[in-house]
Amino acid sequence: MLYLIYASKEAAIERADEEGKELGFDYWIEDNGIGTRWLTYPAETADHMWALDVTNYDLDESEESSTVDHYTPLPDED
Amino acid sequence: MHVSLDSALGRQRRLNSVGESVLQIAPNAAAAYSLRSLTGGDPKVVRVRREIDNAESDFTAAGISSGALTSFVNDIQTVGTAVNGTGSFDNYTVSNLSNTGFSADNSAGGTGSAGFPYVFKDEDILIVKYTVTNFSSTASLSPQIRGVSATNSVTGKTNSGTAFTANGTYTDVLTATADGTHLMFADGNTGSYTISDFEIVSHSSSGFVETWYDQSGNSKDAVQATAESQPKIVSAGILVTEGGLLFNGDTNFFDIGSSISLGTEFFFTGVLNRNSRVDANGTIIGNDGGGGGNRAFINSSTNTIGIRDGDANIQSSLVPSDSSDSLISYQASASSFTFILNGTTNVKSALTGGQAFRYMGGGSGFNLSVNLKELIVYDTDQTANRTAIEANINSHYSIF
Repeated sequence: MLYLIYASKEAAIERADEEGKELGFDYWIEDNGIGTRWLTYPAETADHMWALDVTNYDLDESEESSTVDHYTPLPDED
Repeated sequence: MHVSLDSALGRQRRLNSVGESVLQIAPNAAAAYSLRSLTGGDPKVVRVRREIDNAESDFTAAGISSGALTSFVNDIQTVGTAVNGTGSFDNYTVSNLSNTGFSADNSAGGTGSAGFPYVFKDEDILIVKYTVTNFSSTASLSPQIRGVSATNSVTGKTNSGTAFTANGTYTDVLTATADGTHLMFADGNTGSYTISDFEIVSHSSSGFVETWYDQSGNSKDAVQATAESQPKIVSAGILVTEGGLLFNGDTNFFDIGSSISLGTEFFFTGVLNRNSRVDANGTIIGNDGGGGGNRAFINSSTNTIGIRDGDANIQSSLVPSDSSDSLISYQASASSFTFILNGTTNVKSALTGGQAFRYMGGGSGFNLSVNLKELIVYDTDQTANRTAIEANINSHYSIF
């Protein structure tokens, strides 16, 4: 798995939106706010950053050089 | 308002009336999900995304049983105009390129490839048909079709088709082992041939549920807008083995948009077939986006159904089957809390912490690994209706 780490959830969602548009998900085609929007959704990390699974994303060179192969998730609540 | 005799007498309902639906037996569900009609009509039940091109469509219960859903998922995509291989595999001289054929000459030798742009996904099954004419082998010419992920590669993302050595019409079944973009004929020997009448006979693909519609009338549709978190409903062209929605125990879950407060008096029932576990203590229903917290779950150590209430786990002795459907119910009343599995009860003390329902199948964690066929949630005590509701469900699924 490959992840990009973002400082904010908004920035991570912005990248997820970009990929969703690229993939032609229904949410973007019909522009009606329903249907699939993202391929993956960011998850909060233990240090309160946001990890986006980009394993199947079309990454540019800058992004490719910034990926990490793991992150530490927030601890389970149970 | 209709009041049954049993209800008027304060007794538990024992029987369904003929033809009565679950929501006619106990109409005040807070949320109700199934692939069958729970209302007696033909309600919209799911919105499905087909994997091959991400198109989506809504389906009613009749649309599932009629095969309309699987037809939608297995829609044959457009075949592109034939192309030559590139990079190390451009040794063919190609001509007469169309979306049904081409002519290839490999007199110069080296591995050549030519074929058609056509997108397929991992686990898809394609049946292709084509006619070979003008076959002329100089030295052991024996091209084969296969799915690839680029024109500069002949590495198969499907199995290979017939290695043809003569004119004729051929039909091949190609099963994908990864995503791909082209169906290419390739060979390293010399000679020439013409492909014509190329067609995709069938394309069996996968479909995922974006929305599981609420049939209760309360618009608590269960939605998953993230593709990789959507449960699967069609795999390799057919409804998933074991039926219902396949939650993968890793990333799949639904969000109903806002919480339904269940408190300490509620009832919910569902039909599920437990699968191999991935996440620990997978959530059936809960109220935490992380998937954990106070919730109904399946204990992954004991395989028993349980509930986390007041931040403490209450475990039943009941183990849903991992090879057939189980009917599970959670009945919370003022005086007691009862787990029910296929009609067998396991009674505990009344809940004190209180529950709420927003997420189904987990969240960012605690993902449930089941085929889930039906889930009906009441935010009220349904002790009086419980056996009638379960009898209705059992009569449909023939569980016990």
